[in-house]
Amino acid sequence: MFPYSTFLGPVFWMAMGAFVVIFFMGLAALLKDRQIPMNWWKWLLVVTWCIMLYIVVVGGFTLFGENETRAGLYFLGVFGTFMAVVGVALYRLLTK
Amino acid sequence: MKKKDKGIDRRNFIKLAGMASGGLLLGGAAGAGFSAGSSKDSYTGWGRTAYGKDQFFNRKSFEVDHPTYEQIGITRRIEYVEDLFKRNGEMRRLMFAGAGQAPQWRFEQGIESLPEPLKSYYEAHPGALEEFEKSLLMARKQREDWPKYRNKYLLADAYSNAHASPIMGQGAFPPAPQGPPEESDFRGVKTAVLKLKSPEHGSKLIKMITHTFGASLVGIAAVKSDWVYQGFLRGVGKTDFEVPVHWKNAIVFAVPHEWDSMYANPTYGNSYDAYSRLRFIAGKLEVFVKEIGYAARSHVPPTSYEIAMPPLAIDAGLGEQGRHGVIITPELGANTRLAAITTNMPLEPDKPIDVGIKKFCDKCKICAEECPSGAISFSDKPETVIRGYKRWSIDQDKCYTVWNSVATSHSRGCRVCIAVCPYSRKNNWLHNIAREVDPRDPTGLVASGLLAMQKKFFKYPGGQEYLPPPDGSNQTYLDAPDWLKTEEWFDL
Repeated sequence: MFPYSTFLGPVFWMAMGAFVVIFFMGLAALLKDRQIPMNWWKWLLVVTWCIMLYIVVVGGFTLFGENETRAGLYFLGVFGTFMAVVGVALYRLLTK
Repeated sequence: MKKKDKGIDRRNFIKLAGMASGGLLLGGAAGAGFSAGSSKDSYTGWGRTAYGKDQFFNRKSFEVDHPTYEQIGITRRIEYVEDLFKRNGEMRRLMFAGAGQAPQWRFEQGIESLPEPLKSYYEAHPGALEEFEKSLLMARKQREDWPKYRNKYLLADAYSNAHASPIMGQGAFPPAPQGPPEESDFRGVKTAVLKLKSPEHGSKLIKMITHTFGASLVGIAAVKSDWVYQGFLRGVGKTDFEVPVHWKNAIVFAVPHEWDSMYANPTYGNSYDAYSRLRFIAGKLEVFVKEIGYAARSHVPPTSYEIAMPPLAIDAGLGEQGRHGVIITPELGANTRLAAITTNMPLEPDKPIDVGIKKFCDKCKICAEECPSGAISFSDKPETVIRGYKRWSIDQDKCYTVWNSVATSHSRGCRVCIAVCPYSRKNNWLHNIAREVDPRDPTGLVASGLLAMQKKFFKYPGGQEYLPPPDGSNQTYLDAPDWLKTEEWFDL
């Protein structure tokens, strides 16, 4: 992001880092409220799923940026659907 | 109830902020991805070149003792008429003599009345003469049709001609050699030679200098006589010659075409942007090598070579040959244009590499499917044996006919195979994962997965569509950049 700015790039990634922390704090609170018990391997699965989802979004939009709109849509469509299915399965595993 | 009166509590605030952050993270991911895709910094060869940072792929673990081309018979040097441009040049000289002079040959006279070595060549390749005749007819039609397309492609044509200007005519750089190599290659060499610490030092120095001159990739190869043309020597003319003993090593270097215009081939791309850069690099490197006391000779595009570049570059470890006959390098893919300097400077040659490109090309076939001329083979493995080497080989005459068919002002190339090649991709995180993971996967599953995605996800117009109507619709692989679209800047 902001490849031609020596200032905005680092600021962007610092903000993203802060969002990651806030997101997981919020997620932990949400899971606790819903009385979903978590342990280390469940957290590992959740974090892995989140990273994969992030990669799918970045990947699709990278292809958009390359002017490969169709490839980007297919990428988001195929891997996004896959992530949604895995996400539902993961939620059911967590709530089991 | 009291809590509700106060508004949102701390716990709900954290949950809400967490959800909002999740949304912002996805938005940031989309923005970062789009930026990575559209960033011009990820166009290899047009930014960090001078510092050698374009050659970012670590070849060390892929070095092999023998290159991936296959020698299966008796090898020989390349007759100069086997090169399409030299052959067609000879034919044009025979057929289109100067004003007031009668042509020395016409098609009606047949192959048997051609002078050697053309006669032998066309007897061995009977379809080639027919294709040459077709290319001349198409060239005439191309000239006649150009007024229809001139305005649409005004900027692309001007851009190409501007890049071609330092290549053509008397002012071309580097100057053409004069006299035999034993004289011309030593002309200007400084005599007080300092002792080089080692060939390894020589290679390292030369690579750094070549990068600063603008080369994206640099490699060193020992000159193999099989790659040296026979029958024509610049500075001397038509002659059979032994490979000069001072052509010990070759410094091979590469630059890419400007990427946005390259993806918009055939009509918006051009060859001369890379050619002119290569010629400047070669000319300066030739002078540099002579200044430090060694003989040097430039071999530069489009046709000023005594050595075939792709096999030399393969020997130098820059890449592997693709199905389309063009070298594919890990950094630039097929968007790799080559030049070289031959020298007697002691240099340590690089080793060839095997990063799985040859195997990938066996399966891929996208270039063959997209080639408007049908010049690229669809076979599962290389079948042709050329001068003792089993390798991919294109029908260069068919390819040239398409040069004369697309909607350009003259036959200035097609390059669709370069644009559509899955290896011709940017230097960003997405494609770097493919670059780094695929060659390290012994199962081939990654390559198969990437190829499936390439074929299903990406849009390809299809071979004929690159041609003008009625055969096609002047499609380009990707949309042209705004700076080459006439309609963006001029009233049409």
